[in-house]
Formats: sequence, C-alpha cells, structure tokens
Amino acid sequence: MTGRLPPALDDLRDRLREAAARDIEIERRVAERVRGARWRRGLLVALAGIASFAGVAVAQRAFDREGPARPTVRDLPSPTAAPDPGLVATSATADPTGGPSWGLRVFASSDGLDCVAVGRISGGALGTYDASRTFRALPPRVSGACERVAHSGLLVAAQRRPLPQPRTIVYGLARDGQPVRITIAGKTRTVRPGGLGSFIDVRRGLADMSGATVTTTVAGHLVRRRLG
Amino acid sequence: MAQLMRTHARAGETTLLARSLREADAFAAFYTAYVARVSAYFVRRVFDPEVAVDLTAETFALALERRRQFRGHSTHEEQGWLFAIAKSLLQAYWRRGRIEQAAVARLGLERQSLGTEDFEYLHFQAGMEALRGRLAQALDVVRPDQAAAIRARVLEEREYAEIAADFETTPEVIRARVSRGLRTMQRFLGDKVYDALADA
Repeated sequence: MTGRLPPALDDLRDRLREAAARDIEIERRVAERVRGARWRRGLLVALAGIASFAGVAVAQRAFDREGPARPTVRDLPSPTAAPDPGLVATSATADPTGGPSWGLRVFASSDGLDCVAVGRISGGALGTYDASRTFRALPPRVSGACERVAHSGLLVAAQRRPLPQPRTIVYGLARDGQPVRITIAGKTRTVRPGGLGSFIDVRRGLADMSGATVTTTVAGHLVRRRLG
Repeated sequence: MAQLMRTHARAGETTLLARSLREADAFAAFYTAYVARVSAYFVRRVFDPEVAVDLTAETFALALERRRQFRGHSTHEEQGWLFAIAKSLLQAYWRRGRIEQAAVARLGLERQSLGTEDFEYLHFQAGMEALRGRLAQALDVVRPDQAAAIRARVLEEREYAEIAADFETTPEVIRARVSRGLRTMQRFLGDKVYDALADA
C-alpha cells in the first residue's frame, strides 16, 4: 500500500537524511577530538613520569573570547546544511513563556578546548534577540565557554540576560551524558543532556546565583560546580 | 562524550533508529518504513493533507532529535515510540489550534508545497473518499461556526485565506475553528470512523 512516495514526502526524506548526516558528523568530530585530547594527555603524563614528577594534574579552564580560529564543522559535506551546522538540536529547550527554543553550538577553540555557545534557535540558526525583538544569527567566531571536558567531565556556564525578557540560563557539557541537577535559589531541576552531553536550563527572571550549584555523575563519581 | 556514544551504540542495534545514530541512510529507511502510516494517521484525524504533512514532518524531526533517547530493541517498540510522538503532536494541535513546527525549524527543514500527486497519495492512504460522507453526517455535533469552517476546508477543499475572507476574519481563526471542531467530531465519532476506514 505504501509504494513510491509522492514528491513532497520524497523530498522530506532527503532533507531528513541530510539533517541526520549533519548530526552524525558533529558527533564523530567531537569524539575524534576527545580521543586526541586523551592521547595528548596520556603522553603528557608519561613524560611527567619520566621526569620524576608525581601527582601531576592538569586542569585548564578558560573563557575563549576570540572564539575558534575555524569551526571544526565548517566543511560539512552537505551543500544544503542548516545555517548553523554546529548546532546541537537534541539539547534544545523551550523558553518558559514560549517563542523560539534555546539551543547550543558546540565547537572547538583554536587551542583544542571544547566550547559551547548558547542562543535562540530560528530557521536552523543559533542567534539572539535584541531589544527590538529582531533575531540576529551568531557569527562563526562567536565567543563561548571553553574547557577540556574530556579531563574535567563537566563544563558549566551561566548567563543572566535582561533583554528582551529577563532570563537566567545555565548550560554546558556533561561528558558522560548523565542527568544534570541544577539548583538556583533553592529550586532544583534535573536536565537530561542531549547530543554530545550538552544541556540547557532556562528560567524566568534574573536569578540570584549565590549558592547556585550544578552536579552530575562522571565516571561514577559525583561532580559539583558552584556558580555563585 | 565518547563513552556516551558507546553507550548509545549498545542500545538496540537491531532497530533502524539505533542504526541511525551511525548511518544517515538508516534514518531515511526509518522514515520510508513509517511515513505512509504516520501521514495517514494524521489525515484521518485532521482531514487536511497540508496540516497532516506539517505534523508528519514535525513528528520525524522530533524523532531525529530524540532518537538517542529511544531504549527499545524491536521494530514494534520503535513504531510505538514514533506514534507516541505523533499522538502528542496531534493533541497539541487540537488543544492550541496551531501546528507545532519547532523541531522542523531547529533542523532547518523546509517542506515542498503539496501538488496533485501528493494530495492523491494522501487521500488514497487515508481513505478520504469513504470518510467524507461520515464527516458530513457528524457536522451537526459541532458549533455552527466550526461546522461552516470544516465544511469549507475539508469537504469543499478551499484555501484558509479564501474562507477567512468570506467570514470576515483571519486565516488563523479559521484554522482554530477547524481544528477544534474536528476534535469535537472525533470525540463524537469515537473509533467508528477509523474502523470504517479499515474497510475502505
């Protein structure tokens, strides 16, 4: 009874295949980067051992204001790729009062850190709304919160945006994809990460961040970050 | 993240959804396997091919976004998971009177306008000809303004803008009247109308 699909449904299948290919490509590139980071870290530890240094731990955290020299997903193969191929739509979350969803762009900085930028999603692009409620797509060299997630297990960032409507946004990457508990002003929400372990929590108003925490499980251990 | 991917890869490799985590063609095959049933499901309930295809597109866009959350191991579970999404979207459409398109927008999917071949396919799949007679009988159970909107849109197949001009209102109001009227009719008809379709 199904037979050959008519033109509109046939075209929709091709577009979905392209979207799936973009999603798989992003996952593959991030996984490659994580493997590379692990290899480099292993080499560093070995060299440190030879030099008789013990208990060396490397923790690097930075806020990359320059952004990546080149997004790792810029040269995706699909000629009809969405405007923002680094967008991880699986972690998108609705705004508390409606309108476009909030989403994350995951990318690598020029020095190999895992970075994440937050914004609203419109037409497959990540961007922001200005005071006049005009959508402006984020440029490729946007800044983001960056960290070596393969090492730390949990990257967390928070923003308090007063315009166009006051919002408190907590977002980041949970390496193992385990549920993330976000507590702000005594109110706790549990968020299940989407692709690449990315997560977002959006709340109304400009919350008091003193005492705010984010926790998740990494390699069987509880990891906690304080936001204020 | 690599560990996360390995965890996903272990979950139910036998299903197309599980394979689609690594192969884009598997998601295309998943779509091909179910699109006829999903689109017919919507056409039989909203009686409007344009609305049905928008809801179908959103269903598969959400399935693509959420496929890592699927924990089943069989095609039966896969199908149930997909239709749970479809059912949720249909309920939202009836409740709000508008079509949810958030996932379609996030993925940057733009669907083609429907042509004659599309309409014929959707009508055939859903058994619309057999359905129209029963629909006409059921119009008495809905409010007169909703019945008039359904008659114009579903039975006479006129454009929303044209109907809105006749009623001196906006297309959005007409869409809301149609969706809410159809929900009332479905409550009245129950499963009888869908059982009848099985014989069509």
